[in-house]
Amino acid sequence: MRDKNPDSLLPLPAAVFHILIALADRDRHGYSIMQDVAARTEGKVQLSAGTLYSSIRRMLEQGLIEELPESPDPTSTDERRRYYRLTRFGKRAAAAEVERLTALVKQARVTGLVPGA
Amino acid sequence: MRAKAVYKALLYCYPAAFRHEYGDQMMLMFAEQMGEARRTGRRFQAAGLWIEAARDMLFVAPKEHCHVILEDLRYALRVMGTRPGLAAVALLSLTVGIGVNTAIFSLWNGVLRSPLPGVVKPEQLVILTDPSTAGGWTGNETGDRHWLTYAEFEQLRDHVGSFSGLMASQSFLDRWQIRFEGGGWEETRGRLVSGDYFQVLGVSARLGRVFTATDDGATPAYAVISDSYWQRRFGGRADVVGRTFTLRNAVLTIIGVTPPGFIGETIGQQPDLWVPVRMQAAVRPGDDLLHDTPPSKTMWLHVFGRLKPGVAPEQAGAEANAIFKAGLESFYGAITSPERRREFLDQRLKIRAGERGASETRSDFSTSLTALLGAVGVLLLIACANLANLLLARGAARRSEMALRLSLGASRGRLIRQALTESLTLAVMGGAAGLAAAYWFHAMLARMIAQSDRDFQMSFALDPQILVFTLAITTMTAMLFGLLPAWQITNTDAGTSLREHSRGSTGGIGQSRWGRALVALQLAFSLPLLVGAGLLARTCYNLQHVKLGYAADHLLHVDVNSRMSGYDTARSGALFRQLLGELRAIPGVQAASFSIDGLFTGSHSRTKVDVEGFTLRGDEDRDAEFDVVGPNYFSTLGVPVILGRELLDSDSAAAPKVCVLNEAFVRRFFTGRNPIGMRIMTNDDEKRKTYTVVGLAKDMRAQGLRGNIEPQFYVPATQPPGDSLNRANFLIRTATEPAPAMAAVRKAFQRVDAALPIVSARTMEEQMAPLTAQDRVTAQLALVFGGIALALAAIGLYGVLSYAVARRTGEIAIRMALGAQPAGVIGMILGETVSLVAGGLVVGAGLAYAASRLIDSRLYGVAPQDPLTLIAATSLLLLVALAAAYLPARKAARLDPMTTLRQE
Repeated sequence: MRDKNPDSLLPLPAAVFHILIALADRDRHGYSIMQDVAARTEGKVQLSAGTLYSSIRRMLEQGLIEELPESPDPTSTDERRRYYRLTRFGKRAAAAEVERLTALVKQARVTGLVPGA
Repeated sequence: MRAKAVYKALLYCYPAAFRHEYGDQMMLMFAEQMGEARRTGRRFQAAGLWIEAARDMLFVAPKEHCHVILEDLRYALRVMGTRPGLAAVALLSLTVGIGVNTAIFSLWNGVLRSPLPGVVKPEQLVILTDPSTAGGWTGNETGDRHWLTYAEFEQLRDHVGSFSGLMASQSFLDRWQIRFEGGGWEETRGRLVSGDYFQVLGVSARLGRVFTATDDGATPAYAVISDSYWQRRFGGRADVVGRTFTLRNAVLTIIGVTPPGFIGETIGQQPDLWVPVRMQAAVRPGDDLLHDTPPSKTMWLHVFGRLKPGVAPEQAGAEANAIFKAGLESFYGAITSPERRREFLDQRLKIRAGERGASETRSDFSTSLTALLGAVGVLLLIACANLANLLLARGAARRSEMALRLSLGASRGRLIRQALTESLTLAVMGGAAGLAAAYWFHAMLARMIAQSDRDFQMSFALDPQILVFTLAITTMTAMLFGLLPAWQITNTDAGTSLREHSRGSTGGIGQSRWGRALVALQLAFSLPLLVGAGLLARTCYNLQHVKLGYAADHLLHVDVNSRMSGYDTARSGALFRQLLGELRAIPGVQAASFSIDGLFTGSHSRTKVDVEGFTLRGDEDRDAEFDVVGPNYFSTLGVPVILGRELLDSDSAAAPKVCVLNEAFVRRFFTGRNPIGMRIMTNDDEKRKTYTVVGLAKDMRAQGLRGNIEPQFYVPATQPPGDSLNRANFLIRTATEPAPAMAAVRKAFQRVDAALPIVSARTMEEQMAPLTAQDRVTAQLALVFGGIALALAAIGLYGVLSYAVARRTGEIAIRMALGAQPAGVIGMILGETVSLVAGGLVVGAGLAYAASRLIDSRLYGVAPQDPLTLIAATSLLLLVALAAAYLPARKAARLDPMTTLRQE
C-alpha cells in the first residue's frame, strides 16, 4: 500500500487534507484533531464525528495514517481514546497535494485570474 | 444522559463493522462536545451538534454502506475470478433462466393481462361483442352475439344513453394491397372503423388529425396511419400528411398519424392503417357489409362503448339489449311463423369489460402461454437448485477460509452478507444478460406464435412491470441459490472446521445431505417438464397423423375471389367451370374441383335442416354444416363415396337439386335408414330449397383436426342454398410433386382472367401447417426446456456423487482391501444413486400428475395421466441419472486401496 504513488489519491478531499495538517506536528486523538482543525480555521471548518471517522477509516485503509497501539501521552487519564499518527506515505501525499495546489495558484496568477505576488 | 442514548441509537444507521470500530470514539467525542456546549452555556452549539449528527446519518452513513457493499462486490468478483468455469456455468444458466422467464412473462402479460396500450382510461370501456373471436358471418345467429352488423351498431350508437361514446371496428385484420403514386403494390394491414373510433378510445393524432364522427356522414376517402408504419415506411417524415394512395377502387388521403404505442382495440395486432367504415364499398368491392336484407344479417364488427361516469356495465347492458331487441323485432317483422320468430329473436348482447380489448390470440394461446410460464418458472427453480449445489460444493472448499475469518472476529451475519453479495452479483449479472436475452427470446416466441396466428405482432416493451418482474426474479433467484450455501458455509465452529481441514477432509456430512436433497428436488422438478413435453409431443404427432379421409400430399389449394373483380353469381359459375377446364388440361394434373369453404380455411357454412322422415325430439338442434362444391369434388380428393354417386357436371342449375351426405349426417338424421332418394330441406324462410340425396361419402376432415366430425351435406355449385357464389377454393390433385406444378396452375388462372385476385395459393401441407403450429411450437419449447432440466439434473447429480466418492475414498479403499470387487463398488454407488433418484421421482410423479391437468385442454389423442408417457419420462430420467453416476462410480472402483489408505 505504502509503495503506491500518492498522486493516485489526488486531489485529496478537504477533510483529509485538514486531518493530515492537524497530525503534522503531533499524534492526536479524534477529538483533538477536530479541535485543532476548528482552531486553525477560526471555526470555519467544523468536522462532524461522522465525517471525521469516515475519513479516518479511509485514511487508515489508504495508509495515510496509522493508529498507535497505546496513548503517546503518559499523563492521559482516558484509556479509551485512540491516537493516530501521520505515516511517511501520508507526508508524501500531503506534499503532493501542496505541490498541486501551488501549481494551480501559480497558473491563476500567470493568467491574471488573480493579482500576482 | 438521554442525549447520549439518542446518539447511540443514531449510530445504528452505520454499517455494523464501522459502528464496532468507531462507535465508542464517536460517542466519546459527542459527549465531550455536548459537555463543552453546556459549560459555555451556548444553546446554539448544542443544537448545531444535533444538526450535524442528523446530516451525518443522511450523508455519511449511506456512504459507509456503499463502501461495504463495494468491498463485498470486489471480493465477490475476485472469488468468481478464481473459479471462472463455475462463474461461466452459473452466468449462462442464469442468463437463460432469467431470459426465458422475462420473455415469456412479457408475452403472457402482454397477451393475457395488459390493458389496451395508448388508450385513455381503458377501464371505462366495455365491449358488446365477443372479444375472443374475430371474423364475419352472414346469416343468422342465436344466443350471445359474436359480432354486430353496421346497422345494429348505428342503432345502438344513436339510442343508448349509457355510453359517452360507442365505436365499431372490423373484428378481423385485413391485408390490403396499396400503391403510392409512382410506386409498386405493397401489402399493408388495415382495419375499417367507425368515424368516432379514435374519440371513443381517447386517442388524438401525433401528427395531422384523426377522423371524427362527422366523417361518418359522407364517404370520406381518408386514412389514419400508425406510428410504427409511419416510421417503417416513411422514416417519420412530416410530409406524409396529405399523401394519397390507391386501395382497390379508392384513392385515399393520409390525414394523420397515431401516437407511438397505440395499436387500436385488438391486443396482439398492429394495424398499419385505419380507414372509415363508410369506405367499405370502395375498399372491399363486391361485398355490401353495411346493409342487410331480412332475414340475413352480415355480422362482422366489434363494438366498444365508453361508459358515462357512474353508469354500471349491467345497467348499460340492459339498456343496450332493450334497444337491440327492438331492432331485431323490426328487422324480422315480416316473418310470420312463431317458431321461426322465436328462433330469430333469441339473440342478445353480452357486455364484457373492454379494458383489455379484443383478442383471438388471447383465448387461443392462454393455456399454452400459462403452461409455458409455469414450465420456465420450474426451469429457473431447477437452475437455482443446481447453482445452490455448485456453491455448496465450492463452499466446502472455502470452509477453512470462513473458519479463519470467524476466528479472527468477523461476525457470522457479516459472512452471510458477503456470501449473499456474491450470489446477488452473479444474479444481477445474469439478470442484466437475461434482459438482453429476453429481447431476443421474445422476438423468437412472437414469430412462433405468428406461425399459427399470422396477424400476431407484439414487440418487447421494457415497461415497469417487466422490469419489476425481472428484478424480482433476479433477487429471488439469488436468495434461493445463495442463502442455503451461505448458511451452510458459515455454519461452522471455527476450531472444528480448521481441524477438519487439516485432516484433509473437505466438508461436513450436512453438506452432502443438503446436496442430495437439492439433487432430488431437481429430479422432482424435471419430471413434470419431461412428462409435459412428452404429452405435447404425442399430441403433435397425433394431430399430424389425424385421419383426414383423403391424402393431403400431391394436392394444391388455391383461393380465388371472383366478386372482387366484378363477377356476379351467374358469371362466377361460368368462370369456375372454365377454370376447371384449364386446370384439368395441365400436364401432371390428375383431377381438379373446388368448394366454397375450401379445406382448413376457417370458413364454415351452417344451416338448419328439415330431413325427410326425421322428427325432432325436444330441444335437439337440427343444424348441419354444408359446403357448395364443384363437380368430381370427392374423386378429386379421393374420398370414397360408399353409397350412390358423387356430384357431377350433369348436376346443372336446370337439373333436379341433389346433395351428398357424410356419414355423420346419416348417423344423426337417418339412423338405420337408407338415405338415398330421401329429401332434405334447408331452412331459410325466404329461400327454402329441397335437395334429394344421391350419395353418401365417407367422413372427412375439412376444417378442424380436433373434435368430432359434424353432420355435413354437399350441394353442387350450380344449385347453392344461398344466392351468392363469389369465391372458390380450387383443389388440384397432381401426379407429380405439387409445389413445382404451382407455376403452371397460376398461369392457367391468368390465361382465363389476368385480373382475377388469387387470395392464396398453397400446397395442402402449407395450408395445414398453421393448424398444428401452436402445438408444434409448444411441444418444441417444452422439449427444449425438458432437455435443459435434464442436463442440469445430470450436472447436479454428477457433482454430488463425485463429491461423495471423494469424501468416502477411505471407506471404499477399506472395503476393497477387505475383498470388495470393482463391480461391487460400482453397484454400491449406482444403488445409492437409485435410492436418491427414486425419492425425487416419487415426488416428481406427483407434481407431473398435478401439472398435466393444466395442459389437458391442449392435448389430443393422449390422456393427461397417460402411463406410457410417465414411464418413458421416468425411465429417461433414471437412465440419465445412472449415466451421470457412472463416472464417479468407475473412479471409485479404480481406487488402489493400498495407496489410498497410506494417503489417509
